[in-house]
Amino acid sequence: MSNYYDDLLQLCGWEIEEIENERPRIEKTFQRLELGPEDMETADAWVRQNHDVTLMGVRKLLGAWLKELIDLILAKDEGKKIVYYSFPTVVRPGMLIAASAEGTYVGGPDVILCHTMGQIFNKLTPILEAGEENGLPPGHALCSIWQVKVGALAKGIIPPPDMAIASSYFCDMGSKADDLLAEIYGTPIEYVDGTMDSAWGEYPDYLPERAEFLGAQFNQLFDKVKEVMGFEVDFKAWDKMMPTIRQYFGDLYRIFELMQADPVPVSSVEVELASILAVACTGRGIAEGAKAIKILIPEIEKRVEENMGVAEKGAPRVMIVLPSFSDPSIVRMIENTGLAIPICALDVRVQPPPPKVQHNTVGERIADGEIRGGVGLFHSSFGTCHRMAANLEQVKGIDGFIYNYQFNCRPVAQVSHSLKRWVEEKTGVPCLSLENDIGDSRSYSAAAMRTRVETFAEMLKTRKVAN
Amino acid sequence: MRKSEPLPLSGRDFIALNHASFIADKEFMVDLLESLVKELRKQAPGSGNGPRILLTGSTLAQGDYKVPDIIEEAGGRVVIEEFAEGIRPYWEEVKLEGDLMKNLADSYFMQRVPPAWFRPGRERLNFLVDLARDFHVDGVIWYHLMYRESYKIESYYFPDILKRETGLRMLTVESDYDATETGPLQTRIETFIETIRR
Amino acid sequence: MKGNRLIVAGVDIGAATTKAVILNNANKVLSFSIIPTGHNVVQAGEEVLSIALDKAAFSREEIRYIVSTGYGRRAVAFAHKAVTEIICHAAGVSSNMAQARTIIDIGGQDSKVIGLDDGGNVINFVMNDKCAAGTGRFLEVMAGVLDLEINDIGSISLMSENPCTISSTCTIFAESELVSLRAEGRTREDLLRGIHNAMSHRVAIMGKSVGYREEVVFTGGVAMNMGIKKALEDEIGLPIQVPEEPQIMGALGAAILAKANLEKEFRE
Repeated sequence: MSNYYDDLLQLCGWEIEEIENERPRIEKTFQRLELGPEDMETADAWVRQNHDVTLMGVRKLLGAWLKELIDLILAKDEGKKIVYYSFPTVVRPGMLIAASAEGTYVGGPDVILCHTMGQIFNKLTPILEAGEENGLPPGHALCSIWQVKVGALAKGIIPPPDMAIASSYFCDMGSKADDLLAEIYGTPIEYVDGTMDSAWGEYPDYLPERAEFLGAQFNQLFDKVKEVMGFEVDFKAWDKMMPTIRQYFGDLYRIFELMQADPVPVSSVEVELASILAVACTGRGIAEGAKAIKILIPEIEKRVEENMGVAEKGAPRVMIVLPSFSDPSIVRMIENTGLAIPICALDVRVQPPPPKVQHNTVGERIADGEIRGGVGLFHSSFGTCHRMAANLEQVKGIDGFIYNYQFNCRPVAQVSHSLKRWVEEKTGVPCLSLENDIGDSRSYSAAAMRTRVETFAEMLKTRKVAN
Repeated sequence: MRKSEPLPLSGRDFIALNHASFIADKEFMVDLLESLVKELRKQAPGSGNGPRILLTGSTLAQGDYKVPDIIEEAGGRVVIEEFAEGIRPYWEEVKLEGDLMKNLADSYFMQRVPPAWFRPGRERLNFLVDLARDFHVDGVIWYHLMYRESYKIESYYFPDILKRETGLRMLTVESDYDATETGPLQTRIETFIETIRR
Repeated sequence: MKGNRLIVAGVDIGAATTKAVILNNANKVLSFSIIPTGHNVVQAGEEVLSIALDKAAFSREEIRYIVSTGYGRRAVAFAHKAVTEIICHAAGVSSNMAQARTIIDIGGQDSKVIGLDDGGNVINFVMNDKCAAGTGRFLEVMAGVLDLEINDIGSISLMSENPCTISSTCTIFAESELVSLRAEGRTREDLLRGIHNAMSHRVAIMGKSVGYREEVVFTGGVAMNMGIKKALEDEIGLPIQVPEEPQIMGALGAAILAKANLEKEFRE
């Protein structure tokens, strides 16, 4: 007995038995998301256009996102306690909370919706519009990720959480939107603040007081979890979790390694499916994602062996910051101009400095790890400049850097033009400063950005020929 | 004195005094204010009977008097303001006994009415509700600078809180210091004043 | 190589106007044409090419290679290659003025500042296609308010003694501002100068990240406006050259790239 969604789910790597076992949950989820048969056709075309479905690993990754989506949508229906955190921070505490109690759903609903309703169904706009109508109006440079969250709650797509971790690390927009949700849904919030004001040139060095401050916030968070959710955060659970996490990231780094081949074997959008999954959720998505990655790795290895790839051999190699969460056609457009994307800035592992101080509390230790190995955003917008330059010095053979920054995001947008100048002067790598929106591509579509990217590609090709 | 009728001075004058105090010599300013208070206590200037307004928002920059001017031209009377550059520091006093640095920090962080981007924002919003009651206002006008996200979002859900707690209505206007915005501001403010006239 | 009947063509399909340039083997411009784009991009491309061919007295079959550029570059099937207008403007300007190092291009719907190296290659660029205030459209709207022809406003603006200040950064609001100032009795010269200053200011700021190095060349339809040229010179503090036919620099560059591509193909 088959149903209107079977083909799409199979395209996304689901086995027939998996579909059969979950029919009621799938149907309930799709009902709530207002996804019918026509949407499956749209999704089929959209997925095939942007993703390489000859790779089973890619299909399974898409399927992993969908499985996480179902768990998210039905969390309250199924009696789970729910904690939401927001991108891109407080992931480690989120993981710790998830590991501490069975039957708790901990995740970032906005990122999950972008990757599913956006990347798979191309139907994110109604959710964005609902966000615009319910407190985050357009024309005011308010973050699209938050518009998704507010909109999804307003439409009743995702359940209001039992607790929200408001990461006001570097974003008062986000935590204020959480205030809005607290006002409407009465959700208890715990704010996690960072200090984003390190001086120019300080990165990667850092003041130990920063780790103490952030660590104190994490410790307060753990206390609040006990108060609101009724369970203790189990620090030993971290040790239980670590093998899975290490394995996941170990495999991910293997993929990054394979991506350095010439020609680049797969599109950056496939890698993004795997790398962002780890920060968007803590449950089934990661477990399924881990399996998918294990299938993907040999497929990519085969490509490398056979010298096959998405770019021509010898194509100019560019680093970008991060692909769009909801619209993979943008990165495909960049690749179609003849550029190869072997790595994203946020995936580069730069050696962190040694810890300054031995901290006594778990919160401080986690905070220290975040700041030390951090992406630079956590230091200040200056840190972003230095980190990008460090990335380009670390990864060999990069011909150009596309700094595709979120236009309304303070730590990255503030330095959009000075970063270009700094990075070009320090590393000699040409840089394109590309204004972008990671969640909402209505004003920042592939078509709108094509001329700039094509021109940059031409510049790089000319340089490459000359050298 | 601004809590009751008749109003001792216009909102515009109060704002001018506050802004002057940023740059005037402290001694001079204190003398001036003391003598002003005496003078205002003696006489009772007729101050009209337009709607009493609580004017709040992000900040009133020195020189940015468009909104208070338009309010008063439309017949409204600003009886109290709540802004970042306003009189927040004067609502509490720094304790003078004990560790002064600690008391100063306590005064800044724990006692003072916070701006919108301190979390949670309810503290300031509750304070606004209290102000509206204490000063017997007829309506609230909220004026913030464009792209101040925290204020923008608060201005979305605060009107409901205000309505629930006091029955009062609120008008939100925003500015990006555009030269042509006076017209649209006037339309909104005049309409609001008309609708809350008793 | 192929005798003197070898010709190539460049077609620049812009938002407002479509241009074509016919080039021969000796890099001589045999003819060019400019027509309004209208609502049918493909038709405009065909027509402008036809007109240019007629003028040059060549037939369509004799064109060996066509490069298209401009926002409509992908719509025309007759092109062998589509190249962005930034690359084409650089090629077009460099062929005429070897010393050009900065190009300011203001078209109907966008504006760009392009930085070139000593070889005439693009090394940096910045582009505005989101905001009308730095584009030809801005001038069109304002000319409309003052009931003037777009070709006259530049020279009239230069007669201003007491320019207005237009502070709105948005075309729509600047229009309102203009209307208010006009109602106050300001002269047309002063109003126009204010508009020209405002627009040049917008573009000059945008180009700062590229930087202005001599020789600075001004292209695009708006380059024919001497008021903007003067205002830009005041903004950047450098003299500005305007080619004889600033509007066709994109199409010219496309034609030059067509020739280069043809030569490359022939060698392979």
